[in-house]
Amino acid sequence: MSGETVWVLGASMTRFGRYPELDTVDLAAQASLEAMSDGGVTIHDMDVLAAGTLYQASTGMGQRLQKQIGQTGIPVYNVSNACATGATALRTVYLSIRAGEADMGLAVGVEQMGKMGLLAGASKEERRVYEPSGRYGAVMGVDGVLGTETMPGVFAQAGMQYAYENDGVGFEQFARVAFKNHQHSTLNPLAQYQKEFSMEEIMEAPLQSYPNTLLMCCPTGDGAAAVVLVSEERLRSLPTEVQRRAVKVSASVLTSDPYVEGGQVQPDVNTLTRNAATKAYELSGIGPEDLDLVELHDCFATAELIHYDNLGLCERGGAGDFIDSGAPFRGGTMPVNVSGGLISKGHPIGATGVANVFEVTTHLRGEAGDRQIEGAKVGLAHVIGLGSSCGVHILEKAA
Amino acid sequence: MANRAVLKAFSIVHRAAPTVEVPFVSAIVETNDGTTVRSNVVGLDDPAEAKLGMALELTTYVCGTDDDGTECVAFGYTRA
Repeated sequence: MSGETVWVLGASMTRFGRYPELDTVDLAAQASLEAMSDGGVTIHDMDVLAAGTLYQASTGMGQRLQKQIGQTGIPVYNVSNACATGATALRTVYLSIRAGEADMGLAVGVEQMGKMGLLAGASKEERRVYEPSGRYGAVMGVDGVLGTETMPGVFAQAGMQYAYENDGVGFEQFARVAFKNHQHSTLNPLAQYQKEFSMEEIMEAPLQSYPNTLLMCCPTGDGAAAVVLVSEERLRSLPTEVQRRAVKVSASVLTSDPYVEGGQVQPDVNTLTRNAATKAYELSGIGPEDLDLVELHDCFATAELIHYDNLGLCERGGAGDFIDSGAPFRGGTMPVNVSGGLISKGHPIGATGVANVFEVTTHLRGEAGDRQIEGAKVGLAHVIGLGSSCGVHILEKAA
Repeated sequence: MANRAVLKAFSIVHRAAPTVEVPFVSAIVETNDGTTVRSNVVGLDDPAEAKLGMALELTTYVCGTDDDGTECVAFGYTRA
């Protein structure tokens, strides 16, 4: 039936980390089998499969996964959409159910990055003889000549622009974001790193791109996460104990960049996030004040701070005061990234947008163990990839 | 486009590809007639001298020379 409410039936993630002994598809299979088992269903119940991976986007990940977990002939979508890859895979299954084509489906996000180091920033190659080439007639790359193309630098600038435009934001506020997320990670056994650091250790760590030090940047890594989504009608046919653990998808939104002045020369990570959040709040009838926890895209500490504002978690321009007040700490009024966030939990790119939904789902079910936010009923998961693509999902505990 | 600008955002880049000299000041500047430009702040004795809102001025400099002696000229911004 089209237009139906969609529910999360099962969810799982591998611990994020580095798994050189496994193939990427093994990680995807592990998360997928666990997610189906978690929902009390099997591959034979799935009407659709969406597999998200960025670095193996052209390898037929979904079909390779089927060979591990069951080739039932269902439609497979291989999804790649920057850092929103996982959220887009999830949304692909969501849309299939909303369209009435599927009653139940599996979305998996996976990545195996190992120790990739910096992900962008081409080398300024010194050609022996300059010859103009390409659409710009370039004789050399511009990374390091006309600003930076590296991720820590690009997101540093996004944070610094916020600091320029608003009071009370500086190095210390950015560092405090990382302090919080490292502290949170000590309670999450699925996090890649589970170590607390002092403010001094964070601020004195090697600078990557000021103001982001090494401890304010997410690591690269490996991991997978999977969710099973189900239509309302099909959910009601399942056992009561299964229904009780289901979590409602109250909004699923994907946006890209609208034109903004300056957007051609530097990525604008704000506008599309604001647009996604606004639409998600409208669709769900839920406001930021109703949220019990948020998992947002803290690829760098500078990014998390500005997304407090973009997602409406704080007053406009008030992100510095917000972190200083302690609000986004797990004991605060608006817990953010209680998983440890990308900074500590890790960021295997394709998996991230599904793992955030896993995290929120786990809290809404009351099954998050030591890191449980007590009584959580509503949560939001946010990812953004440069390019750009932003996914926001709002989830609600079953009534 | 105006030659004068202000430093709207920057990062002092310490880690980059091996062929890129670090540290350098990566900048987003806003020219006095309102155009956003991505560039480097050049000519500072210490990158830590970069400050949000500082007044800047357009400059050009040689950023490379090939084997035939042909120079590659880039633009950047210096303290005004």
